[in-house]
Amino acid sequence: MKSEDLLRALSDVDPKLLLECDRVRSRGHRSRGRSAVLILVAASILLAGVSAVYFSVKVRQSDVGASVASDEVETRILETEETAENDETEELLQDTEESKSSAELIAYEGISEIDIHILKNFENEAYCSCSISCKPGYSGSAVLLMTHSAAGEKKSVIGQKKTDLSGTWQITHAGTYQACVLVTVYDSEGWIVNKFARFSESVMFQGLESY
Amino acid sequence: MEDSEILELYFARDERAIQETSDKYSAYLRKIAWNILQNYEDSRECENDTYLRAWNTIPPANPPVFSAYLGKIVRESAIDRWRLLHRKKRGGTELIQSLEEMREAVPSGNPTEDMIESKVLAQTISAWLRTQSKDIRTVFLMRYFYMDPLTDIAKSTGFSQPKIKSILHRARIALKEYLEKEGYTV
Repeated sequence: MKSEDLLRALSDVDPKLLLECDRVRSRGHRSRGRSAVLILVAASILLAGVSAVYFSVKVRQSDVGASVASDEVETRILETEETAENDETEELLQDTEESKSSAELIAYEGISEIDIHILKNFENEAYCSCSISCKPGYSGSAVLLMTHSAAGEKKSVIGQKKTDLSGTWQITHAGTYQACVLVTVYDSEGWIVNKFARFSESVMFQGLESY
Repeated sequence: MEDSEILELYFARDERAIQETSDKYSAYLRKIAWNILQNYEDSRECENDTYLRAWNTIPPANPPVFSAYLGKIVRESAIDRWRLLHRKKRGGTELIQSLEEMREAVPSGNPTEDMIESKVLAQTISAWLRTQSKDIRTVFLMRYFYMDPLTDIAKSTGFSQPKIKSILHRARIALKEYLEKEGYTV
């Protein structure tokens, strides 16, 4: 018998032993999964002075100690509300609160909370924010996309954020805008356990409007 | 998606099973094939072969550990492909190095041994592995099942490469003794 035959025979080794080995092997993936975790919140979105779409995504890992998302996002929204200087902004924030409270929380594996909103702002700005919270023992990474579709046309991606997951895009065309976040969830050993996309509601821009 | 859910798709003959398997295990499978073949295209083909074989064998197969089942398929596929390629040329893949190292522990030349079925031998190896410490089992399987390079094993286990070499050396000797004790002529 050749050594090759013995190696071949190892293919039939007890799968439980392989599973045990896999857990150690996957450690090499763990750091990659965790390094992909980003904490970014769109607190400054209303500072934009130009027509823009602003995104912010927060993907946060609960098992590193910090508690997550929802309270923090609400706090930031309230802080922003205090600085609002006009009715439009207050209306926008009110819409945010209502949208948030009515947001459907779907039980994605590894995810304890996910919210994504897009809102029409004054001066033809659109605001999008997203928060994602992982359950303890999970981590995640995300890509945020902004899509646009004009009447009678297919939806197209007009921008994406992979690394810092925040930024601004100019809106130059009328039509429907919708944000989408693509999320990958890792377990504690760095294996991918879930991938999914979550869309925001749509907002319509009919062109420049004056207030 | 949980493995059980993916398997349900296979049993329902839902073609999404392949996509879900790919989403979850593509990197895992390609890594195993890569360690053996060191070639992207060949590794990719082995990965695709694995999806096809999984589709063709589940059901009736209902693997208790889905990842191990897929790992076995891709490993066999890669070794077969390596054999095919190796007829034409020799290269320095992890498989070759693993083969060289395993010669210390291999029963050789006895015609009766050639009749031992692979699965029986695998059971014997599994039984031997269960008598070893978890560290030894892990290092051994990383090297000889997954064909992982020493650098990768060191990274995953936290052991130095000299220590890993030492573990493997002692493991091979121990395996040889075990096989002899089990009636294999080494």
